[in-house]
Amino acid sequence: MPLHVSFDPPILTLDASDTESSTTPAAAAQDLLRAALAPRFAVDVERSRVEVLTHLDTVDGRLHQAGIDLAHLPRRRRLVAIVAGVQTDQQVTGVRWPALATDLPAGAVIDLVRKPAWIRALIPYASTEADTTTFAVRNSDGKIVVRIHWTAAFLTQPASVRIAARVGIEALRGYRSEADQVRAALLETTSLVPSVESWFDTVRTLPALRPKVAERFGMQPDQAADFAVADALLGYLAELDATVDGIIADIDTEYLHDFRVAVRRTRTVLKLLGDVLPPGLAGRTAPEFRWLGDVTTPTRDLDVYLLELDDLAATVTHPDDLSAFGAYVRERRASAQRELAKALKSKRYTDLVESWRAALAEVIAHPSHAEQTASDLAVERLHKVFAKCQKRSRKITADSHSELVHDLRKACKEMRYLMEVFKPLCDKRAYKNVIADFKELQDLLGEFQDGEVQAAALRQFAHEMVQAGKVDANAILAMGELSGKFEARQRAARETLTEHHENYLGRKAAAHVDRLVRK
Amino acid sequence: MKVIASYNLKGGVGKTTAAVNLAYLSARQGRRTLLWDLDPQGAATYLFRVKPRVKGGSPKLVGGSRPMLDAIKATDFEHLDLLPADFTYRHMDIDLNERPKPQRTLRRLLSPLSAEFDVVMLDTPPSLSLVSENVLRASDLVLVPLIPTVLSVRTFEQLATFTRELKGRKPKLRGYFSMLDRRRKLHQEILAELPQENRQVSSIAIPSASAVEQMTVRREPLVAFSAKSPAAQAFGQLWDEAVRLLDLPEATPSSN
Repeated sequence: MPLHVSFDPPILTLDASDTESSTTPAAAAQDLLRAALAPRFAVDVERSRVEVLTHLDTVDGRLHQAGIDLAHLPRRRRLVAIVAGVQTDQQVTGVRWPALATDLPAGAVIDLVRKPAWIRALIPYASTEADTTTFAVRNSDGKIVVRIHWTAAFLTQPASVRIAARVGIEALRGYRSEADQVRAALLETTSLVPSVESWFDTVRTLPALRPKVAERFGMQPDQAADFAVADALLGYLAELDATVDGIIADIDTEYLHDFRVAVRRTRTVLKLLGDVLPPGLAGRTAPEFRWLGDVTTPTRDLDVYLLELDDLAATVTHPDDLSAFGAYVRERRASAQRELAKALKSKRYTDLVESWRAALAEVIAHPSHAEQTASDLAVERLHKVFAKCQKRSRKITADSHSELVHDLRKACKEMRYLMEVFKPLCDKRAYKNVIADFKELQDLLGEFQDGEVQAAALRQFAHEMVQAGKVDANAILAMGELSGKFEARQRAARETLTEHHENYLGRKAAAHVDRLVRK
Repeated sequence: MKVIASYNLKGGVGKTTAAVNLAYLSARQGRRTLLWDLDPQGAATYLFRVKPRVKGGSPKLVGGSRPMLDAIKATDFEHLDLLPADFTYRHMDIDLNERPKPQRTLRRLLSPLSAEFDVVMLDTPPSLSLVSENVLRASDLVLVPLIPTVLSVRTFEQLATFTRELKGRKPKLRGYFSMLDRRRKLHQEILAELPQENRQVSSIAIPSASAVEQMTVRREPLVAFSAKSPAAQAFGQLWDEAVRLLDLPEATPSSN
């Protein structure tokens, strides 16, 4: 069943000079079409229909990147996906947005979007109302040979904006040449202009939908060092602003993940570059960002367990035995999330971001490090942190304490964040090489760390569950089996690390680091 | 894809009226439906306001050099397409005869359409010819309109015998009454008795009505412009029966 909204190109749209008539009522549109197509064709109204569409995507536009346009038509209880001009439909009832694709009933549309949406929730980015009049274009026998779908539309959310009218020409089977004649006549005698833009693209590019982002300057080599650092920090602050509401509303787990990345980056910059900021600023602010890291940790750790639970369960002998563990983690997670939301709605958080924003704006307005440029700073600090990584790496032997491995992991993380801060100044090729090395090494270190932390956490959970009387012998056995696997993972990572860590931080890597930023 | 034929050896018994209305009903229920007007007189084609012309005519269509899909025209109704009549169809017997296994040519020609259509309705010319034999062999169900007269009943029996004797695949045969005049005693008697005597004959009867004649004036299926008329209601019952006989899957109703 067609939607009676002209989604597909080729279409015609009214140009800017016709904005007054862009909501042309059916009668005026009919007059325009009749005048353009007479005497060869007669035009009459066949039907008219209003569609309300809720446009959906993940917050980071994963469906759009995968070439999928998704809309919910609440009045018809349908989900519609368009991929390469082909429309797929699915009936849905009682859906409330945002929603995770995995929580929605399987069907042609949900099956299509589950993979690209990943673990991100589908959220409405716009609502539109499309009033489409379908005109029948008849030949001299009175036969309908072409249909014209004239759509007057409004954006209703997030703002109320009129959208230029769209005119879709539907060629009926066996009447392609008549459709071409109609198109040519409309282009010749009216102000309609051709367009290949899809309905979703039209909506997506409306100025009202452009995200409001903080003004950023972007790093330049000759900027004052403090200016460049403050500007980078403003970027992380913008990330906190963009994700905090999603965490409080608990839309999906990635809001918290992204928030924590921005917090970690901020902490790294404060630690490694904070000395270029006005005296005392980094020292005053760092504890507050440590607090943000700490309040977000419990929920994130539990999120990680829940996200991996199905995969973990698949590795034990009796997967169902882990269901009590899953229920316990979910309960703990709900409680941790409530605490987290409370912290992020607190005055302490509001004061932190507002004072931080004001302080960074002040640095940008009055930079004082004219003697040291951004590229000077980049060269100096990248080499310093890389040297720290090398030094810590050299301490790692087959017998060294795991604390030393954690120290190396922290240094590597700092190096990676530092590189990301200075990325705009880096040689692209050298950057790619160094990042690739660090990514591999960090994966290995992460495997070691995760194995240890998760095995310890499992033991802790098991004690808590026993104390709370929420566990039976089967669950404890399954958790023990899982814990054994984590420990084995840690051991395997440690062996690989001992053998290969110097490959990542050796002479070749140092040469890449030398080429990263030129003074 | 199921193929239904509207067929009778006799002319003027309501074959085209049935084919047009049943095809419309099929499409209205959301089934992708093709009506092939095999009658060179082109009455069904006229009713849908389509020009009775197929490029290359019967020779190219039957010969396979003109793909069937290229010759199909949309009607004004959603899900309903038409393969128009062409005057060259009057020589279709000759064209069929030139093909290998001539009695099975139509079935072979229709088979590529199964990806595009759920139902194909064949409106046939009145004759017992190679075209008719092709129609019988290509169809899953043959609907036979019967005017309630003795001769008409005899003709149905001849057709039933012919169908039974076909080698290989045989269609289901279903007679129903057409152009029924309830004021006539003979019509009433045959209507009451024949379905009892012959299980291949339905008790459904399409009444003779001026609304049916209006189809040619309005050039639309009766069901589209007079859905509540007794004749339209009777076509609805006949279509329901065809759906049951063919065990057609449920479809989504169209907005028409």
